Amino acid sequence: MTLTLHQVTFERQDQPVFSPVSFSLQKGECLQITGKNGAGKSTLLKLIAGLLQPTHGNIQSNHDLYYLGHKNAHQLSLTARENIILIATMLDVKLSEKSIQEILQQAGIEKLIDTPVKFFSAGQMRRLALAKLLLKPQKLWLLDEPTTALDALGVKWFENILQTHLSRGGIAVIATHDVLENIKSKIIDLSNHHCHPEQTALWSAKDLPITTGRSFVAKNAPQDDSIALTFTQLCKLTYFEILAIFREAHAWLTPLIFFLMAITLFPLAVGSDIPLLHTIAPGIIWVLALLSILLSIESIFRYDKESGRLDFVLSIPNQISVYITSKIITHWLIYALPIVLFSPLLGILLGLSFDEIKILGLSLLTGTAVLSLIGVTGAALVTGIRGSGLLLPILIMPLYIPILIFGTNIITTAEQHQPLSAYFAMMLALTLLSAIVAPIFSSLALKTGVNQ
Amino acid sequence: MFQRFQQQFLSLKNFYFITRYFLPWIAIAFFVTASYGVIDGLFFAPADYQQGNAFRIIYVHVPSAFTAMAIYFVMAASALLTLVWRTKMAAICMSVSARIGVWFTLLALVTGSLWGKPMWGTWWIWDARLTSVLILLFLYIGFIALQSVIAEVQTRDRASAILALLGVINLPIIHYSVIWWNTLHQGPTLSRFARPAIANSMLWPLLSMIAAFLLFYVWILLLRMRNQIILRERKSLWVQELMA
Repeated sequence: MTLTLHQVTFERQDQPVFSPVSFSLQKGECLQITGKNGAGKSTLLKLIAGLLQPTHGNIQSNHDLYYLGHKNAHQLSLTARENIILIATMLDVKLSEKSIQEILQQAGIEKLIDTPVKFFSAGQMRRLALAKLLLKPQKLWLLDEPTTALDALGVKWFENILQTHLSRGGIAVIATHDVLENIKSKIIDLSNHHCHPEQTALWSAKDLPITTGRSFVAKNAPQDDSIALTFTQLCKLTYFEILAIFREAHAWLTPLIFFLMAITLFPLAVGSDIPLLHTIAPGIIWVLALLSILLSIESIFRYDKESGRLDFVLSIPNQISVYITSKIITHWLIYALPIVLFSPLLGILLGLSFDEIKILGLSLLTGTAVLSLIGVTGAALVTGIRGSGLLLPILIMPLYIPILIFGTNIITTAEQHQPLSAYFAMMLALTLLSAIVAPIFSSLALKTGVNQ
Repeated sequence: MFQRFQQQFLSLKNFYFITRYFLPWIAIAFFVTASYGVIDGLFFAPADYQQGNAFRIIYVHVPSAFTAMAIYFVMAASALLTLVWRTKMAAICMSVSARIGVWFTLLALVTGSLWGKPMWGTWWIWDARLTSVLILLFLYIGFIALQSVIAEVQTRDRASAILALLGVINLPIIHYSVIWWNTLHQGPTLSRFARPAIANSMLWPLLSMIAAFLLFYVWILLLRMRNQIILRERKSLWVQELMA
């Protein structure tokens, strides 16, 4: 297996980031990319990892890669052990308790095994990130400034594992300011851009078809994905997502408390007249459910974007759909379900009868799934936009209108003792439609969002 | 074959030079249809037996609503081209269309509200079709808002294309759910499936006005697209030569 780049360029705002890059790496070879700040080192790594598409040129690489950006891709509220298991799940590696301990011991952070990562020092975080490389013998390592924040001992340890990787026939591409002198490797300086002499000599025009894009040499990854495997992955991922959110009480409680508090404003504002409240109750409850879900969706991908975890997920083939599905399920369970469960209480406060409460609860139960699905899609769309603030509600509120109409009208219809099956059928249809459309659009949007 | 078409016609440079010949004809066609529509519609078409002369606002209201809707579909089609074939031209068409479409939508809302005052006795009624046009306005605004916050051109094109497609999938659902919700509006004036509920003497100027509005859209679209092409290609040789 080889990694081959042919005349690869990338343009940002119509400006090429670096002049065309060509090189080829065989088994056991290491390439170090150096260059000034802004020379395009990280961009080149992202291109190889498939996070960006080259403007011109061609990249041939392997599915079997491990990308570590200059951020560590940790889930900060999970412990070291949980982080290791989480990554192992994504890479489909079975781990025993002993091997987790061994890996952490090698990295010199075995004492922190049950400490949440957010309490780690910068160097310890980096060590944990590099320890994840040991989970599975991947063929291609793409590492962005791997030795940042590492002490001398840490650098030595990293050089050791890199050497082992190379001697096993692995390939490594490393972007760095301080060239690792102890590793025998080729070097490209992106700012003075000349390729290593042997490299430039390698190419003649006939060597590769000049098509723009990225192709994989080995297509073995997709076949491993059986449905059962995907399902266990999904369950584990969702479990960790939920765990991570539950450790941050403010994150999951705030929207619910907002929902409960905002309800109180209505009797205070329109008067305590029960018949009036009774008329507008379904509308109020639905609108507030919608708003509190809107409050919660913006953060869905933001933390992952900031921690670098999103880049990591996107660099693993076929992982994005499982990831998005787990996000949707988590969002519904944590933010929408409590609202459904609390709605009867609010129904009582606003003077709804038992039957009406039952139907309201049912309509929220079917409808909130749509809110989560569309919400996640919208969140994916604004990932990476700094200070997106109120943009997200503006984008998706119009899309919430149909479900709001069916959700609230169902109660009026129930009061008139007319059949409700049509409403439930419509809401179910909307749920199914969103369930099909949302993951596709979310993954498209996320892949676009990493560009920023 | 599509690739060839894309290279030949959809290259920004060729498009710029080819459309130069279309522009005057489109402008002429617009002026002809618009003047016929305005003159016949305002002066010669008979007054409505219920609504009197107030009905004549139909000659602005219906074409603008129709065009606003049509532009959104043009936008969505361009969005698909942008996403699938990464056609730069489609991306330009999409973002320019949105900025034109939002004004037509606003025009439809304002004329609808002006029409509502003499007919329903109030400026605004939460009637199904007015409401769905209002939501269309929101969709346009969301699209433009998203475009305005993303600085990087390719990302902006792709992200907004995704939003446009999401919008167009939802548009019929929104439309019918709003109809389900409430309808007070008079039935559609024009329908493909039934004989139009409007006399021929009133119909011709209306059709002519719709054609005029669409032509106006295409005219402005091409003008603004040409501007965008110059802007995006400002560093390329042919633009430098053109400007010299």
